[in-house]
Amino acid sequence: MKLLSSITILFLSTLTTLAQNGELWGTVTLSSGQPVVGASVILQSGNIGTMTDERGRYSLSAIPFGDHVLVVTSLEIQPVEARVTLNEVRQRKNIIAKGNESTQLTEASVVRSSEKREIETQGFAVNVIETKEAALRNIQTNELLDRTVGVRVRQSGGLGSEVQYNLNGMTGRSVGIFIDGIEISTYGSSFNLNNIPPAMIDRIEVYKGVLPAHLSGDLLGGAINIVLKKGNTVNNMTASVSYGSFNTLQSDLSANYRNAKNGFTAKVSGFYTATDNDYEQWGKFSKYIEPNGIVTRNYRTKRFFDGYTTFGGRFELGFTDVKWADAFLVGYNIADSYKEIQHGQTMGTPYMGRTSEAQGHVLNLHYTKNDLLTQGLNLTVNGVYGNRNTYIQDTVPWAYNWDGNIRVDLNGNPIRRLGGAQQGSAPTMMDIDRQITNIRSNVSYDMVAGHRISVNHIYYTVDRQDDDLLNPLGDGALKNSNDLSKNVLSFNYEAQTFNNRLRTNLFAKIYQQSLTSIAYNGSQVDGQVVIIKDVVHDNRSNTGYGFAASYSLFPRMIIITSAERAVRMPGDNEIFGSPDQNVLASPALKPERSDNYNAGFRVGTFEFDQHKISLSTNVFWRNVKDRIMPRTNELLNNQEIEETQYINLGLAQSLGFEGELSYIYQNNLTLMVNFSKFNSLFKQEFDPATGQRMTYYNTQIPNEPFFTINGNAHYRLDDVIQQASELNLFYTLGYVHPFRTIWPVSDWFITPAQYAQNVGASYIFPNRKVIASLDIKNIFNAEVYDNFGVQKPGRAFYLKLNYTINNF
Amino acid sequence: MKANLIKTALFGAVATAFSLASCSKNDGPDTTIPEDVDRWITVSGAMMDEEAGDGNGGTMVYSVSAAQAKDPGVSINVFDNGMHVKSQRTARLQASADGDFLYNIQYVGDDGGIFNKYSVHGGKDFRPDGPEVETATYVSTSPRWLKAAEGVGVAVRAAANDAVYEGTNPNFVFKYRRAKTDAITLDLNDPKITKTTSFELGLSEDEEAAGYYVSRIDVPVINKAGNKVFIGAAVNKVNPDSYTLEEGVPVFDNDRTRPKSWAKTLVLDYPSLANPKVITSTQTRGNTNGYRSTMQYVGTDGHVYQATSGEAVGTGGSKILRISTETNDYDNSYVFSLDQALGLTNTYIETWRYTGDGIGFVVYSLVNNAGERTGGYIARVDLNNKTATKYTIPNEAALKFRQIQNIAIDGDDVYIAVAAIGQNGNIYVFDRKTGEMTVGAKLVNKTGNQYIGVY
Repeated sequence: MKLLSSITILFLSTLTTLAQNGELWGTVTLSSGQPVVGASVILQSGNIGTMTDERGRYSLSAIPFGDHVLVVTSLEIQPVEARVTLNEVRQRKNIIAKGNESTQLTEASVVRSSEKREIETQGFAVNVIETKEAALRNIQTNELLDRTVGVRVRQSGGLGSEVQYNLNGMTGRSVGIFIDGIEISTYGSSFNLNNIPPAMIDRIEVYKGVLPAHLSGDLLGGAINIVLKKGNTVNNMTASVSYGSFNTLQSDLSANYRNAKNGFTAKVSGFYTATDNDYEQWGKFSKYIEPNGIVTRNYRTKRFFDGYTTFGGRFELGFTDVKWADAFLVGYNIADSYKEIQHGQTMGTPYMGRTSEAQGHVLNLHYTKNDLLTQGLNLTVNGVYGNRNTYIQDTVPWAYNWDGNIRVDLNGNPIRRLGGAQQGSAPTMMDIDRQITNIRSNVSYDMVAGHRISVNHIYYTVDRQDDDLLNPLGDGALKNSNDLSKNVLSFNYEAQTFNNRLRTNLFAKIYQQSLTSIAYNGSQVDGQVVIIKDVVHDNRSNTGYGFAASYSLFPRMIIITSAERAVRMPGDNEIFGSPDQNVLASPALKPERSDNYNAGFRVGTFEFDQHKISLSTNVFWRNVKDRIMPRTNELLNNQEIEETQYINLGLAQSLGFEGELSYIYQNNLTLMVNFSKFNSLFKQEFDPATGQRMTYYNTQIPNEPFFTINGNAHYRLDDVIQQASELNLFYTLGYVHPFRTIWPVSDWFITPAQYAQNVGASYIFPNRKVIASLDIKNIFNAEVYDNFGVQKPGRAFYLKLNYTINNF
Repeated sequence: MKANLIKTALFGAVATAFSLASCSKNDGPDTTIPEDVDRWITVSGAMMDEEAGDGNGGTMVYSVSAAQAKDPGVSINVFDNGMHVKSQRTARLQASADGDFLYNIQYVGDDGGIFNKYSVHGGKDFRPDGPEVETATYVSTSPRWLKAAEGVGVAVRAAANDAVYEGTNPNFVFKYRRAKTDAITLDLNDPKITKTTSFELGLSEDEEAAGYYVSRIDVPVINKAGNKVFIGAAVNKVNPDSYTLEEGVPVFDNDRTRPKSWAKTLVLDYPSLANPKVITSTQTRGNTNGYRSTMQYVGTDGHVYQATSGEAVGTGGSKILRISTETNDYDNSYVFSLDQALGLTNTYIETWRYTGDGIGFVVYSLVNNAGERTGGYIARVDLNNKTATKYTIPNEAALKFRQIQNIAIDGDDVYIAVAAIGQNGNIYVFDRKTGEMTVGAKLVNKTGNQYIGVY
């Protein structure tokens, strides 16, 4: 920090001496907000000129104060002359140009991929999913992710149900989900990938294995980062509504306003979704059971308690592109959801009346400033405070059959569930409040061109309060509690060398976590109750490190590689145990570690005649050690209650390969195919007790889909029905290879091959304000499975209308 | 040129993808399965899941003729050559007396609690027979069950409710803990549920106040008269004077220091499953519920003989108790002590088989001072004369019979699968009358796996 401040002072003094000259910068965009790339920007009065970058930005420095004329030219636009009076050290001038109609769209499509390409060539194994097309169609964010190479979304039911993300075979707590770099848990389950509409999202970055420093979590398997729309370039308003099968209504609205004079910016967006999810199912786990227990399988029925309603809004006010901040925004985010839970992880037993409600109120403060105090010093601060509530209700005692009726016993009486509730051992009305504070700060400094150092800090703390509304305790009642706070500090050094052909990124991360457990133990001594308060602190830290590099072998071929030693800190239950779940404390628990390696290349885009082709591949290797897992305590007599303890055990390794190929013809036809194949291997070679070689050593760990293929085709037709209109046709295919769900070979425990095919069409009206889309999902009504034998919907139809107003 | 490059790259990608898929198949030496067999002997083995010997990875079965089972020249490898019994974790297998049918209730998972019946045709050829029957709604996805009489299955489940207490936070006073108990009967010949019951199971007022409660029930058997079903029980104890305030309500600590409860058995009327009653023996402080295998039999004399286990170290080891055919209550004047009969201390009966005329074959281990069960031993017991003879089998100290599910009997031959975890072993055949032991077919094992039953 000392070094940093002295550098700051040094640069401050340089700045003052140069004050008679100034820098002119800004963006060149079309009226639609599309950046104009590669436009030449020339100062008429002198010999100073530059080109706009892939975001349409330009910058001209060492310009004397006074009046100037900027001349902007490009094939894409009609020439612009803009007057400007330079009277500030750093002055912004944004230029809006009129497009040349004939070339505008072609160029735009090239521009669109450039941000994606920018991130994808930084050396990390990352896929960037753009939501632009999906936002206009009837596609959920989760569906979009599921089509991404190496990503598998496993959902325990219809829209809104619980989701697990599998990145190259890593799942659960190993995979982190972020919104703008902030852990999604801050927002609560009411604001997640199930309900954030693609229209609110700018892009989704999927990092596999190795994580860049700005996404620092104790994660082993990678992360999904949702970058919400910043949209401060142009004033616009969009609205959409979609209706389709299973009484599914989805709508969203967003508006951006920026006052060009004072930089005042307001962004408002909202969504509302409701569905019955009453789709038909007929798979082998769809069972009808007679009073005498006789089972009919492949029972064709409709889901009867799977509805989902959610709404949310996000409001941001502040200033953008002003002298003192690139962005200063204060925001409020509200989201609410109600979900009927049709069954547990598997669909063997249908539930009735089990619901979860979630609500989140999140306040956030966002500040970014590039060239703060001195050129090249950039600061970003994101502070988020979330107050989230989850309420689970499960008080219906009756057992249900898949026909939607209460089951009856041999005497015709309704049957009660063993626990008196749909799930678990007792009726529940659990109200959980969490207060989460999450602050992420990043300071970076461009030492010289192409060399940047940065420090990133994340502070996270959560305070949780559980109330059982069936057994209210009242205020001040003693109960055990656990507190958690964590800090992740990471250091980054990025360099571009060898004529910018080599980009390297070295990083180190320090994880620190503090846990406090407060337990109250009561005992009877001579008829008197004595309460002892037992406070245990646990403080631990760990280090991870890694690097990422990309090398541009030829202009259109980039080699990418990255490696990381990642750690996953043990959780509070795992360390302190939990008596009511018969989990013993395990204070010596070590963090789980994983060594992640990726290597791949990207080739293209090659153009010949009307053809464009690009290809990318990635090979990855993950080696997980000291896996944290529950183990039954061997010493205890097995007739006693089974107590478990978390221990570090075993090794797992995953080695895989993925690739993506895309082909464009005449800018009308786009074909894309990707596949992912990996082996998650059991790597414990010998039985520690006998030294014998393990039977399943080096074999595939069951219950993970390990081979998937996704393909899609997109065809654009201009001037259909109306002049200047645009019709887009889409087709997607998803294939999941059969996989075993248990170790032994058994036909019954194999999830069969799955093929899902969807088609869609969207029509852009000539005024470009209205877009209508029709999507048919699972057109052949195939039996498609998701999480542990849970059947997904069959054929479904959705219609969507989008309306956009620009420049008000 | 460019197109060629891409073609090559694509081809390489696909080739790599397929070469990543490892493929291994290991077919060990097979046994020729004869046709027209009078009595199939089915062998079962449990696979490991995460840890060697945990027995949670599922069950494999394989059948040979009785002659082959007795032939040490025959090799049986259920793990490579057998059929996987439908069950996410180790199956709870039973069989008809003639060995023609296997019965199973799947243990946990989506189909946990589903009953399946298979007919036996030799080798890995087992065919589903009759409908599947769901029992989970009545007795959970992990029911304890046995063939309680020929053609009749009884599945049971007891789960202790939370402790009942008085007072307000944080001053709590323990009252009692009771178990929600469910039982059903199954028709094994024409698979279906024939009767169900549900009740709350408590103990005497004094026992309850001291913290005793039924934590698990198992091993049902129907008496000779066919009017009662006896169900073994494990009794646990909490310390009513000590608790922790989990979620603001007291979770009372387990109490392993004070005396175990006297041996108890739950008695229901059969076939009505009505009138639950707990009977108590004061001959031993132990459990009567066994673990995954039969512990009680109707003797030739009509009495029910019941083995106990889990006695505290130094309290006399496992016993065999008698439930009188006249009173359907414990005959407290009768006890067979395995410790005394063998001249050992801290014996632990893992399972046993009554083979007629007061004779039985007992599979046991020895509990050390740390409370761990060690070794695996077989003895022939005479319940009338209260004597026992231990057999000498190779590698006894390394054997573990914790997961054993069944001992088969065919005529005078008694079959026990003997193999240390992960090591090869043999079927041992005992003559129930003479007590003579012979070594039968070889059992081929795999790391972490174990042979757990002969049917």
